[in-house]
Amino acid sequence: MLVVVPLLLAAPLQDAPLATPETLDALVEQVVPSDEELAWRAIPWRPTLYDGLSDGAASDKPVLLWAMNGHPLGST
Amino acid sequence: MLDAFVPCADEVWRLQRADTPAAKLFQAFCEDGHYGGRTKPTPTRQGIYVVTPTGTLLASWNSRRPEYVEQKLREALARWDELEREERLPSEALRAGPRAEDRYPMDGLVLQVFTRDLPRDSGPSCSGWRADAWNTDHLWLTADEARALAAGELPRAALERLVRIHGRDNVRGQSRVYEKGDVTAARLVARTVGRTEDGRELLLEGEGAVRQKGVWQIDDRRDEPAEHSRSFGGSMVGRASWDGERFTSFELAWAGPRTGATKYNGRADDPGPAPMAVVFRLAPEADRVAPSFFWAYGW
Repeated sequence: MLVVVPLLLAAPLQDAPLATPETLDALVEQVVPSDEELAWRAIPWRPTLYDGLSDGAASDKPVLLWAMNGHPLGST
Repeated sequence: MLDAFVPCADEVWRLQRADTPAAKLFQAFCEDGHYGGRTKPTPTRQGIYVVTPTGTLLASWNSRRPEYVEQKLREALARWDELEREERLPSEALRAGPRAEDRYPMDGLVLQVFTRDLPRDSGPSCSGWRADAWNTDHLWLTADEARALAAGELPRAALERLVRIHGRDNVRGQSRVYEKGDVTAARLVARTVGRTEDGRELLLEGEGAVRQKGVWQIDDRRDEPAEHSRSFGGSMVGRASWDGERFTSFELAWAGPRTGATKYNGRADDPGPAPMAVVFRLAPEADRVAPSFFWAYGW
């Protein structure tokens, strides 16, 4: 099965259903980012500028803001 | 060095337009930063900023080059160290203002969403970041919607939200949400396939499809608006555990062919059809970032 499933996913199934109980594990493995790809999420990003400013005031630290078109933690 | 800062992330479109105290601070300090005053090619102020909790800019840039980032962080810390305490810290706590995160469905179902291309035999060859591109988002379901799914079927409003918002091809960039009328198939049912001491094991099955035609750009800098179409659709399958009150595990995959391109999704030279998949899985409780198209929820 470990051999068959990737072959199924690699086939040109443009109009055929790809998500089946047999392909579920392979799909999840292919799509969900690896730990390496998600390494940047290990940084304790506060989810909003408000949270950053509030925590910065409480801890007397400068605030490092990552602001993008699309929330960096939610839709890059 | 990161310990010297409080890291946070936010959506710049919201920060540039919202009326909250934090957004107002951003609207002021971003004009002192790397894109201050710029209107072309876009008025975006995206990038990295280091500010005091009072909103004084210490440094800003829009680059991910490690050496440059380190240099800018050091510059920011040097400026921070020059400030007196009263210059660094506000005299009173910042007021929050309304935020989508306030609507986090504490008793509902919160899912991380991941989107990525699947392997294919033909089509333009991809290299670099495009070959491994993926994107992420969140899906929020209310407690009632989660309970209805566990009982057998996801209600129409939630299903439509899932299909319209997460059927968009955002693997390489941003793309607009589909309209309600663009949904051509939507169904997600749950069937009990096992019982445990803690509850029930569920098999999830269904399908979803969206298709849209209209006039838009497919390249953010080069083309004029023209007739285009886009689509995505295919079957869904998954597994979940329900303890009688909430989902304790959840994995759902939705896969099928995608076609078309939109202004910012990087598909102008690769409109398909080509296989793409979306995977939904239980989000950690600490992950409270709002869905990117929360405005479309109507909550």
